[in-house]
Amino acid sequence: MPDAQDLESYLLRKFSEHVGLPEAELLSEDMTLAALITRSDRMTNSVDLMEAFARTSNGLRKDFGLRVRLPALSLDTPVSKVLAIFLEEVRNPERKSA
Amino acid sequence: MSPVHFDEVSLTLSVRPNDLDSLGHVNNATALEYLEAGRWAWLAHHGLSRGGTVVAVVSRVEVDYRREIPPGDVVVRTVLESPAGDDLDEDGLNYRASFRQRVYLGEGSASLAVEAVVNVAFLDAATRSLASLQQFLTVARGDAVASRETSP
Repeated sequence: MPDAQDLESYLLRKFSEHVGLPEAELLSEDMTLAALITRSDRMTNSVDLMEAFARTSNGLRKDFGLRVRLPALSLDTPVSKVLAIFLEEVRNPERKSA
Repeated sequence: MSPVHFDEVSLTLSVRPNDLDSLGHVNNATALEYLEAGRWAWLAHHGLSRGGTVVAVVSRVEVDYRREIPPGDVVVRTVLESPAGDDLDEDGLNYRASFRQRVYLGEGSASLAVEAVVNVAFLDAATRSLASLQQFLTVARGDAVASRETSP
C-alpha cells in the first residue's frame, strides 16, 4: 500500500483530471463542491460530480487494489475535506464516514 | 468481473405526418423523441429491460440540429460513449452514462440531420436516490430477480 503522502497526491491528481480543473486551483481556493461544479467545464450537475468521485475510486481499485465508496456529501463540503474523507476511507474502509 | 462491451445500435423510423411542423419538416422536440426511441432500441438490443427497481433518467442533453428532416425514413444510431472500453467494468462504479446519438436521413451516413450527446443517470425507483450504472445493469438483465427467486 502506498504511503499517505503518495496516496493524497494520487487522489488529488486523479480527482483533478476527472473534474477538469488544475490541482493548484482545487487546493489554493479550497473551493466547495458547488463551486467546483460551477467552475468546471466538464460538470453541469451533481451526477457529474458523483461520476468524478466514482472514477477516482475506480482508479484506486485498479492501481492499488483499494476499494473505497464515498458517502453522500453536501455541496458545501470543501475539496480539502473530501480528500480527507477519501484518505480516511482508504485507511479504514469499514468505517462509515460522516 | 471483466470489462463490458456494448454495440452501436441502429433503428429505422418512419416520419409520421404529425411529426411535421408548419414548415413541413420534423419539429425539433420530436427529434428528441427519435433519440429516446434510439436509446430504447439500444437497451432492447442488449437484452436490458426497462421498468425495474433501478431506472435510467436523462440528466443532460446536448443537441445539434444539422439539417431539416423531411417526410421519409430516418435512421437513429446510438452508441455508449462513456464509460466504454477499460472504463466500463462490472466490478467498478459509474453514476453516469453518456450516449452519442445521430439521426440520419435514410441509410446513407453522409446525411447527418441531428447529433446529440445524452447523459443518463440512474435512480432507485422507490427511494429516488442515486444508483450506479452497474446496479442498473444487474436489475435490467434480470439478475436481481433471478437472485431473489433462487434465495431460500
